[in-house]
Amino acid sequence: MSRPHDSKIVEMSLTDRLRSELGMMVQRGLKGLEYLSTPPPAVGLTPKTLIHRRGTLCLYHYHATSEEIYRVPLLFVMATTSKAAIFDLTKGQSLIEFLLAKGYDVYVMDWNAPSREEAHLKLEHYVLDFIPDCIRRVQQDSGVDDVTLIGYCMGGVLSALYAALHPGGPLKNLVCFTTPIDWTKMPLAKQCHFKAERLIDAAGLVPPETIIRAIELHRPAGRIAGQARLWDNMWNDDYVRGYRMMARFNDETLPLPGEYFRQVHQEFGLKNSLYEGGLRIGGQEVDLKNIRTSLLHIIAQYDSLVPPDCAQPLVARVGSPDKEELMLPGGHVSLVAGPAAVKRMWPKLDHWLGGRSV
Amino acid sequence: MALPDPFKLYREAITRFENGINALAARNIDSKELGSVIDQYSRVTLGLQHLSQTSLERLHKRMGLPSRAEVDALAASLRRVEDKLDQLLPAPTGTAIAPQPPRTRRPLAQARPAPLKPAPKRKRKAGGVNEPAA
Repeated sequence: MSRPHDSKIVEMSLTDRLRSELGMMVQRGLKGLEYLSTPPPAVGLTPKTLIHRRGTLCLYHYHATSEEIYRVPLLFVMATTSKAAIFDLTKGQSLIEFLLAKGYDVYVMDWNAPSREEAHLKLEHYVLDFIPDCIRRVQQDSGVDDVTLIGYCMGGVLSALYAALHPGGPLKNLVCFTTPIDWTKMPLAKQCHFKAERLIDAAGLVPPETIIRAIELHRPAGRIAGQARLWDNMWNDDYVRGYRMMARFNDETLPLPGEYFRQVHQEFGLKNSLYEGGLRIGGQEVDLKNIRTSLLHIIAQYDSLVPPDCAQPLVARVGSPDKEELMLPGGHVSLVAGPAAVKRMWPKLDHWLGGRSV
Repeated sequence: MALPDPFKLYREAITRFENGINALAARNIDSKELGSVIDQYSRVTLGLQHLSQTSLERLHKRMGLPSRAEVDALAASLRRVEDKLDQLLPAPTGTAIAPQPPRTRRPLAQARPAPLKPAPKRKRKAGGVNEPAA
């Protein structure tokens, strides 16, 4: 069943129009019951092996699907508030499945919810311990020294910090998706004049509900309008499936270690030190100029969370001779997942990586 | 004259509502008033959370049940044991079952890839699936 196109609607008589809407209304009722009685679609089903697990950190290796693969493995770093399932939604909508089919060797750093024992984790742990540890394991597992690091949102920040503090290698390429650099241009960071402690619970963590509410603050009508549109499109299986996968991704938001949140709030939110300078990680000063590896930064034109002017300074500031910024239509999530990403971003990413992965 | 389509009007109203509210929020997001409201709200919710936690802990103690913190500590110990076991056990056999293909792949066009061109600009569609944030 499909909704008649607007031009057809004009031609339709009122009776036909009402008949069509009535048909959809019946479908909505039936599918609505199905929606309520079935679990959301499973995500992250591409075959993989857990290589390493340490508290909040998990390192997966995805099983190759092509007969020969590129020499340089890819290591994805997911944003610390989310599960990496966004890279592997479902068959035909999985970036990982696409890259495997194109002949890449794919590893992913995914996160578990941190426990209260991990409330002390700081940026230093992520940048100077977790990422180097995973890179070592990828080198060991693949037998290749070079690695391409791909970070999404805060995963991109962590990857860029790692690259800036390790200019001697072993990174061959750095790819960032919609990575915030100038935090004064970030709507959420404009709200930083609250006390970070207020958002940290008794376990020393920032609860996921708080993170979801904070993110929704800059688009407060999004959820209600989304639900109204879901009801309107309940007859459309593809729409409902897409909505449920995105909603599931949203519901799986992870808590953040309190110390990490305090540091992000202080250094990025209040001091904007990644952009202004003066950021120190483990006693070393971070200078984006020290990034000399090949860099691709993919930015979403309509990203309301990390707007283009917040992300653009990355390419402008790094010292890489081979650097490129690509702005594509889309939002913060539709840049990497969903039907638009399949057509727009994925082929461009493959095109950029191919020649740099041999 | 064609009759107005009530269903189309409804859909347009949703988009207008969403855009209006979101634009209002975007204009006021950096205001001190909103900041202090969030501060007060979080103070109240954290206070309530603390109160309910301490009451539950007292209840658990009376009923001889472990508290959330104790269960968390137990789960963390189990996870540490599992992590240690993962480190001690031999590497997973998955790779042995399916050997890695040779790393000889080259891109179709072997020449250095040309710089990427951004996709042609398109007018943004209003509405669509509500995007969560990463």
